[in-house]
Amino acid sequence: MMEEGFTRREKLVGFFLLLIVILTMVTLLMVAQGKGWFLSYSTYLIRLEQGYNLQQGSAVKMFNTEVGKVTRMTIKRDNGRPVVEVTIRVLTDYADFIREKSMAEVVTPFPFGSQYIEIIPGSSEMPPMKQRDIIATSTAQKPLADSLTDLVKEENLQRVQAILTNLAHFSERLNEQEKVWHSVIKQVDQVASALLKPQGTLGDLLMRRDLAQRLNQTVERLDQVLKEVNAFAVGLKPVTDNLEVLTRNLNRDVVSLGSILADVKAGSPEFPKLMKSATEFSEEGTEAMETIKSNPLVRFGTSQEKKEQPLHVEPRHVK
Amino acid sequence: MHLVGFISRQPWVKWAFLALALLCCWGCGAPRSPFGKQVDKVEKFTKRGDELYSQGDLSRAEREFQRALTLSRGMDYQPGVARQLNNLGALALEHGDLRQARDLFTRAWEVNRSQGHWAEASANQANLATVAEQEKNLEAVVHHLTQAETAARQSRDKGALARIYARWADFTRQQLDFGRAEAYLKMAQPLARTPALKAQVAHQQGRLALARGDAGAAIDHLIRALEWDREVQDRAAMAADLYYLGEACRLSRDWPRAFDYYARAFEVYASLKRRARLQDCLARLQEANREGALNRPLDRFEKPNKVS
Repeated sequence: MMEEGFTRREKLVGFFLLLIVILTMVTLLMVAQGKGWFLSYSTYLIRLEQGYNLQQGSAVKMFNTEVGKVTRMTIKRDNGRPVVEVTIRVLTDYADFIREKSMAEVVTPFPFGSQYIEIIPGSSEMPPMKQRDIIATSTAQKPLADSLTDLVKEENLQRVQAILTNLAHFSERLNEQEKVWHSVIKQVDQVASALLKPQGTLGDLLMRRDLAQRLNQTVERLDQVLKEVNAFAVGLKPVTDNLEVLTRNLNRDVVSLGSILADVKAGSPEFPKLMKSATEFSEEGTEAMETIKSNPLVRFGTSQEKKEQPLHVEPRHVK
Repeated sequence: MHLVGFISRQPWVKWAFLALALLCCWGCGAPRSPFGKQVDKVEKFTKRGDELYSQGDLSRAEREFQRALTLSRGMDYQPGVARQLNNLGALALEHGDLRQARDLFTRAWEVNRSQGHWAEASANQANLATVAEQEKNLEAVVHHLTQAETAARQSRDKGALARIYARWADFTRQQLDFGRAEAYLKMAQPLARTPALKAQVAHQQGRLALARGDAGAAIDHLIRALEWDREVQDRAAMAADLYYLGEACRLSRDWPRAFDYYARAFEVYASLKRRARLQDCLARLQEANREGALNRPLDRFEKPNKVS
């Protein structure tokens, strides 16, 4: 007769299987939540003149906050004009902000960063947009190359040229002024040199004044040096303090070293014994190895050592 | 599974297991005696000394042999004493101290003879023959080689006999008796079992072929000798093999190969610090360069000589 129900072992196995299944499911759920697999999205379309280097996975932002991603990019014809249709997915939580009159704009971060789509929310008074509705685009985003082309337009170039011409004119005038200035300086220099040579009373006096001035300068320098010495001495104080600490540490280390040396000295009589023990141990090991090697079964498997022969010196060895 | 079942049913299986158990017990159970341990130490020093000797580090080799000699004397281990006297004699011979070498080899010979160690005694006599050869004393060479052959025969050691036959071949070749040299080598060849002996015989075969003007055969034999000598790392012998390979190429006027062999011989002799041999190699290198119009730079060969 067949026994009904499950044995204790079967129940235990079943319990563990169930536990593993539950654990796997929980893990999967946690991963899915982390990855956002179960979040609901609303899909919208944006039509652009060109792709602006957008790609699948490019971010869709609102108030500089990521709210979705670009999922698809296709080129289509709109009234016979080719356009790039960008499909975006925006989290349903933020779908409420996307209303009629909402605008989409491609933003190119300068100088670094990837292009993304910025959604400018519509007025709350406007009805919300439906799934797969087309979001209007603001003034078409110029790619960087276009902006650079604008920069080198003829008007701008003329302006730059005018500025440069003015700058050159200004520089020329400065040069002229500099020449005048140099001639003035030269004249002053000549007068000064005449005065500095002890010519006449004024020159002599000036020389004396110069001497006094020099003396004054020397005293000032001395004063400066003294100040610096003072500052150095102030700086030296912590160093000397540190030196004291260092010396104290050194003394402590010397004491430690002394105790270590004392230990070594105390242990030194033991050292030969230790060495002897180690040698004996090594010899015993070698002996054990020799004994093992002498076993015919082991010896059979090892390479045969050359039997030692007395050295035979042939004439070819010495000639 | 059938095979296992078949084997396990065999009556000899239990005896096989018993034998295996006894073998294990014999191997693991026998402790080394204090004397055995000391002999091991002597062997260790000797082995180390041999290695250093073959590497050309004679001073360190001498130290190892002296240690082994002191230890052997201290424990009255006569084979060890004789071995170390012989080895120290070999070092004296390397240093060119022939008198000291003769004295040490003679003492080693006496110890071995008194102990009846004829194989080693034979080696001592062969070494004495080398000393006599260095002294250009042909009668003494013949005397010592004869003594060595007698001792080798008494030892019934095939290796010892091969060694002496090769020495006889060398001696008779030098006396331009190529027929006897060949006969000795034919006798030595089947007896030479170790790489060192095979190298010795192959070298002598090469030298004989060279003496007979057969450069091709000489190169074949000397290349084999070089391989064996390299295996046992007998550097002096390797250098001699290389030098005579150069001589064989010189005979066939193959100057580029001759240059290469002389250059290799030079390098090995340089590692052994054999100045006289370096000079010989350099002369040959210059000749090969000149005769073969090789225009190879000789700076690296000339510089070590200038320094030394």
